[in-house]
Amino acid sequence: MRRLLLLLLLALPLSAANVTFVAPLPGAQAIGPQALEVTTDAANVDRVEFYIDGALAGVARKAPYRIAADFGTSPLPREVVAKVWSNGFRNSDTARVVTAALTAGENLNVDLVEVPLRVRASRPVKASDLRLRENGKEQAIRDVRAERPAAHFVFIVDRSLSMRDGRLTAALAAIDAELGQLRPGDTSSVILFNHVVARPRRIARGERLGRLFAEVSPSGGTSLRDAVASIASHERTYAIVITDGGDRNSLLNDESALRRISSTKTILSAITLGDASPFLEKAASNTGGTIADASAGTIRVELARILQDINSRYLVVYQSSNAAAQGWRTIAIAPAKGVTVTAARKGYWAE
Amino acid sequence: MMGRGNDRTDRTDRTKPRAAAWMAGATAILLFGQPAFAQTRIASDFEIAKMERQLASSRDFLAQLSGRLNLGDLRVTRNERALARAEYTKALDLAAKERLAARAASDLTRYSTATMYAALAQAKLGRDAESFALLEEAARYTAGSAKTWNVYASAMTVLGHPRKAVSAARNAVLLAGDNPLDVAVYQHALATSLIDAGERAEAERLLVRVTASLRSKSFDALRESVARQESFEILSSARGDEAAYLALLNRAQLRLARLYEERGATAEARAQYEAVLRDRSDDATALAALARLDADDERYAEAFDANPFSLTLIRDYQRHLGRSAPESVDASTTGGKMRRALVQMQRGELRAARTTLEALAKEFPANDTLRVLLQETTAEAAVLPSPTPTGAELRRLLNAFETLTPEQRATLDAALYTSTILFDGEEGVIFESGTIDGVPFRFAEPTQFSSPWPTQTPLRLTYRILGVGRGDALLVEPLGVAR
Repeated sequence: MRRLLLLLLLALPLSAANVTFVAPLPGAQAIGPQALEVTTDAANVDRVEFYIDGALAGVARKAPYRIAADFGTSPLPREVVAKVWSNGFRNSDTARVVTAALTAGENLNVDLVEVPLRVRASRPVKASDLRLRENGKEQAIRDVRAERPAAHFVFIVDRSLSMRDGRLTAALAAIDAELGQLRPGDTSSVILFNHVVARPRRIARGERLGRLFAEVSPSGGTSLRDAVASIASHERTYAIVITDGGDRNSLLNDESALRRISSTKTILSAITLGDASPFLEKAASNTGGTIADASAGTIRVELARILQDINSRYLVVYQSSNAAAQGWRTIAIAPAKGVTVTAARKGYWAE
Repeated sequence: MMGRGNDRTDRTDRTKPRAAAWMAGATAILLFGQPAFAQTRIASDFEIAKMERQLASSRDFLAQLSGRLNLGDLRVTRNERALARAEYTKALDLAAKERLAARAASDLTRYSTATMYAALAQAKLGRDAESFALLEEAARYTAGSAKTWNVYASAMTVLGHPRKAVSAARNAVLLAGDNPLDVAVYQHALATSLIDAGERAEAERLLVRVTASLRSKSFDALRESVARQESFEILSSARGDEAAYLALLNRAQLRLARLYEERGATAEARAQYEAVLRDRSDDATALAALARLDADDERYAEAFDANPFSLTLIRDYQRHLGRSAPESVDASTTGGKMRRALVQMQRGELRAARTTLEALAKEFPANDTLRVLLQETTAEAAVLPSPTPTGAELRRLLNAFETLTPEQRATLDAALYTSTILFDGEEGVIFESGTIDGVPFRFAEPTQFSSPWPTQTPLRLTYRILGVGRGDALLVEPLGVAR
């Protein structure tokens, strides 16, 4: 009886071995090359496997159980798992740590804020002619450029059913006619949208949209906000929307869409062919763009005007000193005497 | 009686009775199509959103019922059958309550309508006897109604009785009256049941007539109304003339196109599919058909974006991949992720395919297509490679690494392998990754060799296999390299 009890006891599973992380510790930051190390009281260890975010990163066969791993530059939290194999690969014990995400306060904000300005002045405008406050805090202007730097232009064209009766054709023809206003170094793309937002299509030099999209007929609903939000970019981007303004099918609401395009370098302008769009008006106002009403016959004139305006703006550049403040940052510009600012970005979204 | 004439006489609000009138006819539009043509018509998010809004904003019986039936049908097209059954069950409950209320109010027309829809819901739930009994009950009260026979035909099609469906649909056509939209609905339903019954010539003639009628001037006003509202959603239980017109035109063209395609009239088929896309640019069935006809990657990408979960499309694409597989797949959309998984499966990268599919399954937990594909990527038991392993041996090990027994793990941990490899990157002394017979491998960290090696020339690497590293590459421990 006693022997039987002993055998039964031996047959019970052994208690799990302890596996403890030496590095990284839970909540520590993990960037770049770093050591991963565990200790364990497991007997007859075959090897220790280290996994980062589910992928095997390396193997240590003897104590100290340590490997080097490169975490790269991602600010996201990383999951590190150590799996200790022992007893001829029959037993395995694991430990897990999650590293800390880099927070905004720990990010180095190296992004320069660009503010295109429309200015009336009797002389060339210099940095000393302008005072710029962000969230009420005065900022040091690094540069005021009279020449527009090279940029990417995105034409966001509504192809919904309400763009029938020649409106879509007129929109594409207007873009074809005015692409010549883009400067060397500029690039451009087009996004057609109805209820579905198409992928951006790069426009090659000499390409004609009228010909490219000859088979596209106006159809479907309208996802205007989703289309506008799809251009979210940290590159210098001028977005020009041509639409009849309605929106029946977007997934995003106004606020979410506005937030996505309110980066430091996106300026949105729009040509509306029907009812006014409060969303586009707000988007243009926030980013420093303009809104124009048009009919099919006047799209080209309005597009030409918008492009001329973009080409003739000053560009103010500053490095924000509000590095830790996330969310919407207001920009207010006070010009010196003799200078009038008629249009400028109202702010941007910092994340 | 619940005929169209009575609907018109009683109405005070023109929209609601018309909507009610079109429930029956338009329901049939979808039902007939599914099994016969293996339709891949997707319940897109737009239709689902529209039905959810309808359910939230309208309390009347037909709005609620059509909402549930549509959601069920939409879930079927996404291969989410459990969700579909839940919607059909709710539709059945609604119809059952409405029957009781109508009987209590001694309103026989209302009772008959509720009974028809109860029968339809039972048919969609696969309950043959219950559905049949309810249809007979409804027909007892409204045998002179085209709508009754139309629903009857729909239920018979769902239950797989094409001959009965044809008979019922012929009754509906005979009773249709002279309204062109009514006539088109019932002719379309008859054509669909004829296709099921194998009588394609008559079906084709009917569909040609229906599509010509729908494109005629008689429908100018309706088309203008569709344009004003920017309507585009295609629903099986359409409420209102505009919705019925859109659904009917879409389905009639798709069925006609398929008939053309099946008898080898490719140009005619293509013209119909393109006509469908002119009205609905993301119609999944038309996009899938054109991808099939053109064997074109871009078309397949569009079709997968429109409905990533159509097994018909997936099987077509797998055949296409057998002839021509893309180098890379833009996986920024759900459709793109699905195509990536299929390309990975085609290449034998089952582990990578599983990872892709599992991520999708987290997003779409009720999806049966993903379940089927995950089963297909379940690896066979692992087999240890030979000392100079081929790509196939290594791929099989990668696919099934988790199934290694303790003994296999111990053997693998001690084993040395030698393979012909190509390093990635520039010629030099430090390398981190490369390929063995097309299988990607990487070292745990960048490794410095004592002399420089080229990257375009095959080299002999001696190594230990550690496991599966980042990007599903084989993680190896290098022990020596030679020409």
